[in-house]
Amino acid sequence: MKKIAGILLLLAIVAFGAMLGLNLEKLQPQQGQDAYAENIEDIRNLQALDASWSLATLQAYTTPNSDFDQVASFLPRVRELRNRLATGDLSSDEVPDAVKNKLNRFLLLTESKEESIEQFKSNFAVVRNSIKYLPLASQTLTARLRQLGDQEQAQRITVIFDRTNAFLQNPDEGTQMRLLMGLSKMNEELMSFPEEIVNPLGNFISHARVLVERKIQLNASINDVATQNARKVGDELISLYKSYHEKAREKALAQRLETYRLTLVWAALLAIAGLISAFLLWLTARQFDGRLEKGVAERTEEIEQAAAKASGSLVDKNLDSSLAGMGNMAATVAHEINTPLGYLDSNLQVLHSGMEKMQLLMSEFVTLKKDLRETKDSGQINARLENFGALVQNVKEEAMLDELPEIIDDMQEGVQQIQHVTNDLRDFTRKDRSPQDWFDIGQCVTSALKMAQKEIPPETRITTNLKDLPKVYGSPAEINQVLMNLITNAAHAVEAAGHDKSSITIKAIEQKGHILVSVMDTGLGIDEKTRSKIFEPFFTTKDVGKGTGLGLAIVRRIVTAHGGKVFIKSIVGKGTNFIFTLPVKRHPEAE
Amino acid sequence: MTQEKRSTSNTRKALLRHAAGLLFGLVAAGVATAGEPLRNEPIKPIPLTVEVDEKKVALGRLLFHDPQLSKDNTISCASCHSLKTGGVDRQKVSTGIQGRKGNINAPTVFNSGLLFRQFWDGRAETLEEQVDGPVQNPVEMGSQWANVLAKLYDDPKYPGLFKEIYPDGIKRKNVKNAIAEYEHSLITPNSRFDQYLRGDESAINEQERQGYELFKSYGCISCHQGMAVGGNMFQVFGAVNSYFKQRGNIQKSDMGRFNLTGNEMDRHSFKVPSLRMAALTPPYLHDGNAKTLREAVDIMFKFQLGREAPDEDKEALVAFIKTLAGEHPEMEK
Ligand code: HEC
Ligand code: HEC
Repeated sequence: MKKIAGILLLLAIVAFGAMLGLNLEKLQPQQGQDAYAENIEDIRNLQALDASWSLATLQAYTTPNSDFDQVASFLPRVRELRNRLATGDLSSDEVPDAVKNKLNRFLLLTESKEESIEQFKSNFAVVRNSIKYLPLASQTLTARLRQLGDQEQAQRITVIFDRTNAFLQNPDEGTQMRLLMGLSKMNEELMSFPEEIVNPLGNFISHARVLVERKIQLNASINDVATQNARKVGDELISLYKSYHEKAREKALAQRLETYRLTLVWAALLAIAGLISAFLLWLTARQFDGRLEKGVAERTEEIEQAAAKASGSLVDKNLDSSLAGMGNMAATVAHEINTPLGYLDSNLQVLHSGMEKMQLLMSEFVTLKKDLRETKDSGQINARLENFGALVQNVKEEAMLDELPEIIDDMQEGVQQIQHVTNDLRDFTRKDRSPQDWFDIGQCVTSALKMAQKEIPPETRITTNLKDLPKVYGSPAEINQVLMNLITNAAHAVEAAGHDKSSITIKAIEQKGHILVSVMDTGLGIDEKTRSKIFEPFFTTKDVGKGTGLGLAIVRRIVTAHGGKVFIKSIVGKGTNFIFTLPVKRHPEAE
Repeated sequence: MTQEKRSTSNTRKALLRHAAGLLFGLVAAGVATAGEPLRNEPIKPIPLTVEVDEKKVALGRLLFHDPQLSKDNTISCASCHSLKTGGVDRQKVSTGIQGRKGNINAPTVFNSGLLFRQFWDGRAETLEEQVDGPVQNPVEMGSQWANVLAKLYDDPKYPGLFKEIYPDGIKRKNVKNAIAEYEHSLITPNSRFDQYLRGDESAINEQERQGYELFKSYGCISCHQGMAVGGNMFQVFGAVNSYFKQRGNIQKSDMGRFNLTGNEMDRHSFKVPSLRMAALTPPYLHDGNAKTLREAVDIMFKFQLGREAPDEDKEALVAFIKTLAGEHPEMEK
């Protein structure tokens, strides 16, 4: 029996581990978000690069003496973005074709931009040289022919040159055809020219031909560079990708929830198995000595003791004298602790009755085992077994085994809540004090202001006046806290008042062996009734969840512990002034 | 993704270092010489320094000179790109493993970091990508990456060196990265012509200065321009008159960029070579057809410019080209 239970337990643990292991990966938050943001950024960058690349190219086209280094420098950046987008997860199988097609179109656009720019660079260089060379060549050739007395041939060259000009000014099919026809006729008759100009004239013809071919290509390429724009397709890509991403995210979320659900169901089942086996083990070990009930009682007592200790500490620990009998505090703490105690209690009852049924089952099992060993009558054995089976079924249903994990979770949460309350109280009632030293009040004010910074409405004027103060002995950390609490209160007060000329003034002066520190605000002020209770712990005028009600109580405790006092002056509608004093040259160890 | 991230920051770094170098160059020039630097010139001086990762450069240098990158451990990158001789082998076409002849002239590795693409036809987009070419080319190093990496593993000096720089150790991409970084360090700044651009008028003589003016006025500058005096565009070889009709015997390697794109306009189109190191790198042209600079210049006039020029102009041009080569510690003076 012990063995079986042990094996069961082991199995449960192993299965639980395996289940967690299997699902853990799915339970991790998806990483898609980062990749998505990076892809969008890459697309945007590529759009921007594409645009400035065009600009740089047009600039090179129109700037004399320019070189193409700048234009070429775009290449690695464009290429890198393009490669990343083309090989990244945006091209993976899960991405729908619509997005991928758009991506491809986008990438193709930037590729063809690159191609156009290459063509532009090559054509521009050649066209530039030919345009520069042709007038020079035509001039030298005609001059030479005229020298040789061949006016007619000189005239032909002038005509051709004029046609190149006409073509350049208006590169349409007509001017192009006229020029090309003139050129091929002249080329055929090349040998009829004087020998010494055959070569230069051949060059002239080549240049004019190159000009026709390359100028048209140049115009096309520059036109492409100026008009091909990846912006629009890029924007379309981004919006497609965005909507796909949203959908994919929703789907992934749904999948994750499903996995969570399955995991929970599994966990519950396995926990039950584990529990039952643990229970079996435990019962065997204790040999039904009836201590179960006592065990439960002990647990209950423990928790109750903890609660009692928690509330007890409120009374006996070093609280301000004013603390004793504070109705507010009692109510708050009672409520905070009572609620979890409430369900701890009821859950324990459920557990208790479940355990009772289990116990019954166990003792039945023991008798069954004993009887089986002694009886030889198979009819009787069968009857007993059947009986036992029914009992098992009954227990399974009545002991609420299915709900056990949830019940235990609840109880754990309850204990945590109580722990939380007691921790808070412990902090408040700390006996041990933080390190003591000589310190400068001015520095405390500065650092407290810094810490309370985010509470202070931005338009509030802060004035400090902290001149020539002697050092004080005590805990700078605690005084920091005092100041921070006061400044935070002041900040909330001016915020609630909402004047447009709010201010918070912090002053400190030395007077009769004491330092007086005042924190003054132009907030709503505090009426007399409130003023009388304001230092009580758990007294708060703030909304639930906004203030613990301990702030000023802490102020008072700390200041008192330093041998000082706290005062409050307030005029309703005008503002409040909190003043605390600290004795100068008071050395606690010297007392 | 991390690899890509790194390469992003690398390009950014490269751009920055470019910009910084340029600035530094101008400042340095301003300090060094009395004259005003020449601005608005279509040729720009090479930055005096380049910011590179010294550890990678050191490793890259070892790899560049290591014959283990070839199949039979006989040929290193430096066999064809000897830094002592201007970064080339000074052969018409290169000789690879087992005496196998290549089909194209080896360009220099100096200043290859300044070129917009690699190889005559620009088929490699980056220096990193370029490394695959020679290592796997059967007539060059004829090897396979798996073998290369295995040899590097067995060599006691490499595993430690790689680990120091690359957490993932000896990897193909890391070998390529180190070699590329080394090549980025191979700039040749402070040429006499750069000194002239930076304001030192006495750095070049009258003939050379004349050569520069001719280089601009004849229109060489339309193609050979920018910091590398070339290397920022493609041009058809035979832009005005057909070179290949005259030369004959057209090979695949003569088709240039057409081999990649199949685009008619790219037939015989080559990356315009940088003229920075031309003084030291004969023979010239992709087919190694020009034994001297003067021959190359003649060919340029005839086919690229489609014009004639007097001898003294061509000589001035050659003189100018010779002022373009700068300095590098690994180069023989
Ligand atoms: C067998 C001789 C040989 C070897 C070995 C060799 N190269 Fe080359 N290299 C060439 C030739 C030939 C070319 C031109 C090929 C082409 O453009 O098609 C070239 C081109 C290059 C270029 C392009 C330069 C430019 O201007 O486009 C670089 C960079 C380069 N090589 C670096 C290397 C590196 C790095 C190695 C070692 C991994 C290497 N080479 C090994 C012969 C060689
Ligand atoms: C239309 C563009 C263009 C013009 C104009 C041009 N070049 Fe070239 N140049 C090229 C191309 C393209 C090559 C490479 C040809 C090949 O081998 O495929 C080249 C190659 C060269 C080379 C050989 C470089 C080497 O390392 O192999 C030199 C030198 C040269 N040009 C100088 C000049 C000079 C000087 C001028 C002016 C007189 C000039 N070029 C005008 C495009 C041009």
